[in-house]
Amino acid sequence: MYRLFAAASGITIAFVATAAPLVSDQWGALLWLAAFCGIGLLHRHQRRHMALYGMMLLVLALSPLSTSTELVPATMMLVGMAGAVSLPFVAQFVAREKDLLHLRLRVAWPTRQEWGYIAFAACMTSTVLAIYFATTSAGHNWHMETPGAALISFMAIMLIGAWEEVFFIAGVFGLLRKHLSYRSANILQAVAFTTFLYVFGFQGWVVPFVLWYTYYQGFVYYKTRNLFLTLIIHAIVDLFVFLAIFLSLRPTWAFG
Amino acid sequence: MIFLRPQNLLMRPEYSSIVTSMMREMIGKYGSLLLLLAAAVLIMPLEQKAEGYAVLLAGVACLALAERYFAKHVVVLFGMLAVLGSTPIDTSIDLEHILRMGVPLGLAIAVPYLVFRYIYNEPHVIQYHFAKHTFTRGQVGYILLALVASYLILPFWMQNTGGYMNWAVLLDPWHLFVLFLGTNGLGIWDELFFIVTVLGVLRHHLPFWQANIVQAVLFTSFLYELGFTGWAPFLIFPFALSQGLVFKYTKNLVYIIAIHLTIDLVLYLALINAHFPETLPLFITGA
Repeated sequence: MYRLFAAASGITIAFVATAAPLVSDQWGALLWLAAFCGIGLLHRHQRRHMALYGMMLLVLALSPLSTSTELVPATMMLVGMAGAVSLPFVAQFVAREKDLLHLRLRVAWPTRQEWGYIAFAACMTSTVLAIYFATTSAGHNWHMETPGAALISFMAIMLIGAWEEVFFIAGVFGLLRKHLSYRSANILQAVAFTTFLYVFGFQGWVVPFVLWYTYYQGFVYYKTRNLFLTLIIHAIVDLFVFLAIFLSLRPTWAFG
Repeated sequence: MIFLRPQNLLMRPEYSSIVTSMMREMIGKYGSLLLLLAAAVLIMPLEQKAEGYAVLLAGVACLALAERYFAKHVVVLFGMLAVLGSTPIDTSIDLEHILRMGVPLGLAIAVPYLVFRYIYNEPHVIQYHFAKHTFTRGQVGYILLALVASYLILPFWMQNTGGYMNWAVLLDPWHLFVLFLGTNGLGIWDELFFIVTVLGVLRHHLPFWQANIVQAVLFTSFLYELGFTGWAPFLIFPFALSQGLVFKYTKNLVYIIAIHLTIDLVLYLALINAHFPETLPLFITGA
């Protein structure tokens, strides 16, 4: 159990170090090598799942993550992200194993409890995001110079939001949950998820709040076993993200 | 329109007096409460004292239509609103002002308590639930949430609206001490008056959510008058509602005071930070 947690943490650390990026390319390559060596020491049936986990994060770390609205970098990034999320899909066929992507999606009207999860997340994140984008210049990481760029950014924010849920909650969290406890799996998932958002511009004092939010998404999925809930929450949050960025970049549009 | 069908018992002529008296009582009840809210908003945040008192008198007159039991309870609240209206509500901290504001505020919680206990002989309406409580993990978590939220929001609000100018802060131990006592004392008073007294009286006669809304409007207008201006009412109002709800579920006065004092501590530090940015650089969302 501890050996497994250490090996999975190695992958997560390598991802944080190379995606953020905190280290140079050579050290990053060395970290990834060490992390995969750690996975090689695991038991056979854990090794396959953890190797898949490592490959998913490695593909993501290698793809050029940015908020650019230009055709070439945006396409490169989308290809990388699609590749990363398709790995567990492909592995399901190759290994003839179900649920490598733990995708439980049930479109249903939320219950009272689920409305509570949604409302709580909406209140907390809207407050934090409004203050974050109003008091820092983080909004400048996104491109909203022209209406076209703003529209592309909006669609990208919403789409990537849905992708994040499938990749980090259904993919990473589901895979880690096969062998780790809920709490360990959720912590590792939250760290990877936060790193991904960090690259896109959620930097500075908002990082602990993003960490809380990603942990909360794992918690909601764990409780409800329904990706629909986390998708709704993420869509609401992304709406606030877009509004906060847009208003911080173009205050005259709303406030005259 | 099922009420208008002749087979409805209430439509029969022999019941018409009951129907009219029910309608009269409903109009008296909700009309007087609406006038109470209008008077509070006029007297406290809008500072239209004459119009406010006229509306207040109209509300008392409207109480004559309501049930006697309702009227004798709510007329006490009207009286206390009149007392608050004649009080200079602001945050200056010289000794004379503290007395001129503290005495009426003290009366506003003492008089209803004594009236309900010894004159009406109904001690169960205004109850101070003090003892026999421990905080659960969830309750401690909620306080931490309040701490984090106020840590982010209060300095930002002060920076954004200049609201910190409504408090005078001087950097000497005596003034800082009095300011600390003032913010915490008013925090405790808010809970004792709005939650225990006003909400306690109103929920005796109304569904809880209606009583809570009335209480929250009064709460918000008082704090607006105190200095929470700008867009603060949009956050104070949900806060007042949540305090009422938390009191309903925990029945623990100490707990809601703990929540309020947590926020007041952040308010105190943020005020010092806003007036003297170099002295206490604790905050990230406002210089």
